[in-house]
Amino acid sequence: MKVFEVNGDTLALALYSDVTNSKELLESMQAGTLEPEVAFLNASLIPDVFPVLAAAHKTLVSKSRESLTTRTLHSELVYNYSGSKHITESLKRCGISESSTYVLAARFNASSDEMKAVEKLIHGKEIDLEDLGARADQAQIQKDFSQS
Amino acid sequence: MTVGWGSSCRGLAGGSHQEMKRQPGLMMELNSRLVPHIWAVGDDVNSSLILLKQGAEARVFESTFAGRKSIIKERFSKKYRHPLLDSKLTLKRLNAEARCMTKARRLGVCTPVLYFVDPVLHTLTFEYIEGPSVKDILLKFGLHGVQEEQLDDIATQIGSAIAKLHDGGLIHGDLTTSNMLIRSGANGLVLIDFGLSFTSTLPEDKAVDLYVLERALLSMHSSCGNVMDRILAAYRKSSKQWSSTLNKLAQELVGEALLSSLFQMLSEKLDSPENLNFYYGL
Repeated sequence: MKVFEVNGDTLALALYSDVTNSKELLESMQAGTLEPEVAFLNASLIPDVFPVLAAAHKTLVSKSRESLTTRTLHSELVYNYSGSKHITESLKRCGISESSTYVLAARFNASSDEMKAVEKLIHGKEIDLEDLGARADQAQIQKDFSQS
Repeated sequence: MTVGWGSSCRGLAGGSHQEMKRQPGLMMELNSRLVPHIWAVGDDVNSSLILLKQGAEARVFESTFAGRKSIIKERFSKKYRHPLLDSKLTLKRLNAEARCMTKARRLGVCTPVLYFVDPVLHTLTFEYIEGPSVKDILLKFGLHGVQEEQLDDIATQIGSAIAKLHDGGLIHGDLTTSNMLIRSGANGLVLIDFGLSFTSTLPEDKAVDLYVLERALLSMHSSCGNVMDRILAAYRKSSKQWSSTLNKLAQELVGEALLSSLFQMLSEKLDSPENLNFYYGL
């Protein structure tokens, strides 16, 4: 787990591979019973930490203006990362799916207890954030973000 | 604003002596709320904002964004415009600039990476490019002699970058040497300031774009030799639609020569209506 400072707030990020319970995570997230509330991102679309921080910045700014587009702060992070305006589509693409095994967990202003709880929530192997670049699906990123 | 001031001052006047003492501090706080919002942003990120440039349309600050050095460009409101018109124009231009900058990137021209668009504060936050502007480099050439190899490289890069923009239907609108940076280390050309950019496929618009550059080069860097020819050579090589654009550019040049002698010609005799249309069409 690593903590980054964005805009005066903090964002804790933890990267997991070989996640086995993404179906349960997805279900409890959709039911709103995830405790503590946390954002799960499809890590294969993330080549570096920086774009996540940029999305977090945007999220915090709209939070401070009470103008969130989605229902919660953490879903807003996933939505902002996608770069699209279609909420369902972006949560599907950049969030986790039932079959996800490679996941980036993010939480704003997390205490160390909360991050431990997140660790317990996810059944997988925590790996270093440095691995993001090597594990990213370059072709998919270029397709989804229409870069050439 | 005035209501806020009045009420807060009343509150202070009614307070104890101790409160009166605190007044200067409170005034400062209020003041910081009244001056452009940008300072409030600076307080939020806990980083210093350094004013780099101030133009007629915007202010440019240096700051940090999520741990990286960044540039913030703030379009400020114009008090002489009607408030409604002002906010609409400012927002429209802000969005247009962001769109054009990212479009240029998609077309394969290096521009600063856009980090954040704030439609409320009218700011754009983008990547800080380390390196001198082409203007600085060419002015140095003027002082210390021209390094042909480097000049050739820069001119080629400028030509092919503009060709890419124009083939993709994007007009930069303000091609001057101070709006081109050379990234230190990589030596890559980076185009900045898309504040006057727009999309167009008309050869006339592209020609005007090149013409602006030619005038800028002539007025600032005539001691560097004919840089424009080298730029155009690279442009011709990269652009697929160069012939129509350069025809128009030639017309611009002919038109300029004609305009300068227009007074003479007018005093002699008026030309046929088609010719007059040609002059006005310029």
